[in-house]
Amino acid sequence: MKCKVCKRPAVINLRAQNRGLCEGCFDRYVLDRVEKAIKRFKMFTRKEKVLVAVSGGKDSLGLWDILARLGYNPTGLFVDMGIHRHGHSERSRKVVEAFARSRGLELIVESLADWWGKGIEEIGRRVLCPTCGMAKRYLTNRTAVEGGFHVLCTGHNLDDEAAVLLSNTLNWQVGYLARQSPVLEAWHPRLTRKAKPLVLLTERESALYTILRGIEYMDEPCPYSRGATTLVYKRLLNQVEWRSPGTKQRFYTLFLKNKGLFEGVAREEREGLKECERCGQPTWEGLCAFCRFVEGSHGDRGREVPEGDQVRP
Amino acid sequence: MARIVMEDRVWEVKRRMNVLRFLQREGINPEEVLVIINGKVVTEDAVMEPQDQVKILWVLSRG
Ligand code: SF4
Ligand SMILES: [Zn+2]
Ligand SMILES: [Zn+2]
Repeated sequence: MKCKVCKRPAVINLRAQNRGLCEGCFDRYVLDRVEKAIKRFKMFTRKEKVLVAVSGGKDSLGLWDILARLGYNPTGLFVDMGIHRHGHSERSRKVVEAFARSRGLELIVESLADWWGKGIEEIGRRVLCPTCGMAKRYLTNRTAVEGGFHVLCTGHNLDDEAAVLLSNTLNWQVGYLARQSPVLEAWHPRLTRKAKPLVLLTERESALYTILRGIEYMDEPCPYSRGATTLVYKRLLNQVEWRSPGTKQRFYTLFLKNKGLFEGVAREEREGLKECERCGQPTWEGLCAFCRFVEGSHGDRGREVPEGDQVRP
Repeated sequence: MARIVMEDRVWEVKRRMNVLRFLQREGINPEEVLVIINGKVVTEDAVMEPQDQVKILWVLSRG
């Protein structure tokens, strides 16, 4: 197959658009798609301070690289949760640090141990994800707010968003549906705007970009990950995509068009919110979920203020 | 013989074969992989020749 633009050998067949692209034209296509998402969804401008949450995986490192090339001057943030099994946190951190160094990009490293004195594996429970995810979101948001960043970017791609949308729809999670968006405004001074600049790229396109750019990424999932449910939805959608190219994109963008249907749900949820007595974060209780956790009452996590748009891992 | 590697799976294919035909034979959805022949990313209409080194990368993150 040849590139539709310049006739060189194609590296990808974009079946949804009925065209192949060569390496150079695909590179331009990726930069255009991300710039388009940033503009279309009014994510941020070149005058704002941009923070990118980086895990070491292909999507977040690719995103960091793209934003830097587009001139957004992004700072990276790696949150070290202290996952020592299989050297997970250490290895991810090394990958991120090496990338930052090679590109001359600014990197902030936060560590749960600085806040809690130890790593997440020591919570004394077999299932880490709910607490780990809560603490990671808290530290990420807090770093963004206190660092004066206007926006926090994550590497969620179209496959991630479409899979979450399918899951939220199958379970009619109207609260999550109301909040699922490529950009979430900060609705409280202790929160930052959140943006997902890769939403117009499939996971396959994102992976190809990272490979073609020669970015070394962390290929192994967290040893505690039980990401099986999302994976099932992704694979189902890819089966439909193969038979009917463009399905993922239509499913997601038509949902965004019709999102008004769920308006009101998100607003209602915020009624009765207070501020955490210890850190000021919005919460329903006296202390927010993270402060309850570090103060040692993590047997009772409390109710976390829903901010994201999906069922927690 | 073309040597095809996908994570811990390995195939040896004697004759030239179209990438798409191979993926379909093995029940692999082309939407979920990238195929690299002798270090070059190719589209699914490419042909694997007997001396080729082929790598199939699964693109969905599991984490
Ligand atoms: S998979 Fe679970 S334990 Fe691992 S980093 Fe994610 S939330 Fe934490
Ligand atoms: Zn081209
Ligand atoms: Zn608090």
